[in-house]
Amino acid sequence: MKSIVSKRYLLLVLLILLLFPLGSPTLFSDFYVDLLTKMMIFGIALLGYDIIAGYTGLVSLGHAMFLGLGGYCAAYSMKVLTTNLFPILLVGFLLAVVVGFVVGYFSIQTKGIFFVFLTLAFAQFFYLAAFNLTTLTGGDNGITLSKVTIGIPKVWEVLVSRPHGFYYLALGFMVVAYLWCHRIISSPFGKVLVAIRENEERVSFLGFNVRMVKIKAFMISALLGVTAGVLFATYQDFVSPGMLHWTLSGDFILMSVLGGMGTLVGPVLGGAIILYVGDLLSSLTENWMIFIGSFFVLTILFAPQGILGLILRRSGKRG
Amino acid sequence: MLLLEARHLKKSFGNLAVLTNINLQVREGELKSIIGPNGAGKTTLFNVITGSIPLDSGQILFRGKDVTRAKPHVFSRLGMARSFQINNFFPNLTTLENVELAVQSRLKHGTSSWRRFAGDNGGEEKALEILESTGLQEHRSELAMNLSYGDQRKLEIGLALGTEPQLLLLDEPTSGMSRFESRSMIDLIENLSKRVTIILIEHDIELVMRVSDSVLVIHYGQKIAEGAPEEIEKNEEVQHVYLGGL
Amino acid sequence: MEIHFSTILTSMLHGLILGMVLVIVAGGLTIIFGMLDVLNFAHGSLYMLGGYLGYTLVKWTGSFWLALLVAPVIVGGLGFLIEFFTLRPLYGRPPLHHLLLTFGISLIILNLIKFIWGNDIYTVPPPSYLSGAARFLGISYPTYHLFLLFFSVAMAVLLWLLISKTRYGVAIRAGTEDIETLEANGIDSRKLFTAVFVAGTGLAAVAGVTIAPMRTVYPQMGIDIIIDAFIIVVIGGLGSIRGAVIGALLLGQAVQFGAVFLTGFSDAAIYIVMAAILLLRPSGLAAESE
Repeated sequence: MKSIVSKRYLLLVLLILLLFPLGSPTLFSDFYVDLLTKMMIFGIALLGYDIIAGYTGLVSLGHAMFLGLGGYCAAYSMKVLTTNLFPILLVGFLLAVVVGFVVGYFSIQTKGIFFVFLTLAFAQFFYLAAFNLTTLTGGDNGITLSKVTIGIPKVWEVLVSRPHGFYYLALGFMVVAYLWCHRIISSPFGKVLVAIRENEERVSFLGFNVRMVKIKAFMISALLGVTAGVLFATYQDFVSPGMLHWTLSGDFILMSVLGGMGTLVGPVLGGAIILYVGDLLSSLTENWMIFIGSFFVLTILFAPQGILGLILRRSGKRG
Repeated sequence: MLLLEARHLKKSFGNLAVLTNINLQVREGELKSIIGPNGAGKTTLFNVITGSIPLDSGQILFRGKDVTRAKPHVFSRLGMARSFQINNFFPNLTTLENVELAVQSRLKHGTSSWRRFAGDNGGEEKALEILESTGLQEHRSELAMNLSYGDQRKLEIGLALGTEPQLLLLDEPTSGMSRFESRSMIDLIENLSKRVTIILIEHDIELVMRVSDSVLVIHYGQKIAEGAPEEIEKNEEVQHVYLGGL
Repeated sequence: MEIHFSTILTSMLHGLILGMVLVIVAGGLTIIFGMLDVLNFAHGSLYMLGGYLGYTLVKWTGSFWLALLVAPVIVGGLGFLIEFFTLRPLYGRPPLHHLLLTFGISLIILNLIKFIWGNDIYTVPPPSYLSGAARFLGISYPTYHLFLLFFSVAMAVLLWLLISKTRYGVAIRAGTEDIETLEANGIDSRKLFTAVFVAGTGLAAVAGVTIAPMRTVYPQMGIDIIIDAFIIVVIGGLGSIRGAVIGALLLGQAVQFGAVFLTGFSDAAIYIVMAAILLLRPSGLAAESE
């Protein structure tokens, strides 16, 4: 399947991203490297969200639960296991598969607004658990993480440097995540996802086990969400219930719609824009969310395909 | 040999009894038509057979195997496919993509999330064959929602064909079509009946009489007559209830 | 933990009041859904706006009744603007768009409230003759709470009368299915849609103002109530007022007893209830099968 955005542009962006940090701190401050790192980590989560919400049409208000899961998993793994990133990620993957399956299995039985609220319920449950079970989670104070390392223990293990080390780490994961997601949507499975979004009933009449397909998609989004959560927590050296809050799930919706759902690139773009604009605006006023929210409403009214949709329509690519 | 057998099917919606006692036998290779006034329960019959609505009581056997409780995707896997009275395809996909999806369901890696989606596993070829046999190959790159109504009805059938069914359930395929459009549909059904067992719900009596091996007449959820087309045409009760002096 | 009759009675009354207020909120949500096919995610934030406006009005004018009158009018006015400028253009679009739109609106309103009033919790004093406590059946129970109970019952009855006895009520119940019949009867469906939306949001504001002296106005009240209200609408079946009432009363009791017996994690009770209901009966308890 042809990519929505041509490979040429994507490679160009990759090149820019690869070279960008070399300009800091001499040409511009480290702040931008930090911002881009955050954008890429968010991007991983947003790719996962696009798979279930953009491609399969299952808009969830619980995606934050996977980030929080990844974050707390990282925190506990560090205390108990190791500061090495890859084992932490493996634990996270395991959790993602289990929780993704369980939550998915139950949530997928509902559709539309019911799905929204059920996923919200699951996520809020985790949030309240993190908030209230203070002995386990430190409650609202969160947990501080030690510095994360990568490499092979006892052979070559090193702290991930900041900001450049983490930048390239995030970039690496982001590229892998994107390639994986692109593979998924270009596969037969990906076709079924889109078909489910278009006309779920007919898909099951064609012989596909729609429930299993949806659960699988949900688990994919869980894996990506947890990855982003682990990366984010180890980057901030901190995890708190805020990572599970429904407003974060809401942010994913905002970013995805703004960028253009169902395009992979769109939500990542939307996330980058909102993070950047949010940062700009928040230094001007505490209430920048009002502007973002208004912009979101305008997008739905006038450009429901998002920014990417507008760009593509201009160049005549989308029907 | 009996491909499909339905015994004592009963289905009510609240107080409304839609199927009161339906018995149905479909032999392999035949084309059986089901006719009856609107609201007689024909589409509901299809719905309970394919598992999209649960039965209150009764039994359904496919090749002798009890499939009463099976869900739609299981029915499809067993070898039954259905087209819908109201268009039920994928409007934003092209005609070819629509049928490819149906074909994909039978391919070995039909839900693989790793392999590339390409025609190299025979999917595209097969889909094109089906488009040809239904006369849609010129429109293969058009979005399904942009097809003419007659072509859309053909796509309905094309989708069902994609799953290589042994038993095809067609729900009013000519509904809404002009006489002219119906003619090519009739030819299509006649061709299909040579390869596939068909159960056909229809209001177009001319079509029914022409293609059917046997006809079942339903009224108020019950069978009022069954037999060869000529017998049904002559049946007085049927004429009174339904044909209205044809 | 000792369980006295007084504890149970107090809890039950609390639960009952909670339930009845929820009826008003959920009622507004239900009629909007029944009429416009829109599940108004912003309903909670409008309820919250009503509460905060009520607080300010009481502070400025010293009159609770004035606040009760004016706040719903302001919020209803906002509801009109929302329906006219943002919902109307969207009729005919897939339901996902409505969902996203009302979600966006709720975010705007929530942040607007934060902008105007900050992150603080405010107490709203009830009118002096309604403050204090009444003694009966061996318990001492706040007078205002009792007033709230009667008030909300009265509102529920009023709502029920409106829906079941008037021409407009019939129209609302017929919902979006029967636009032709509506217009044949001389009712302009678009004006009715707007009116229903305004009424629904006004009701939410009334609930917000009246519950303020009992529960204070606080930043989480928007999201808390929308989840509660939604559970009720789901339990009762979308579009069913009777179901909404039953659901509200049940939920009120559940929340109250949950709070008493599950200290520390009582908030979670609601989510467990909601999840359980959605799983057992995805289309609600009072839903009819098609």
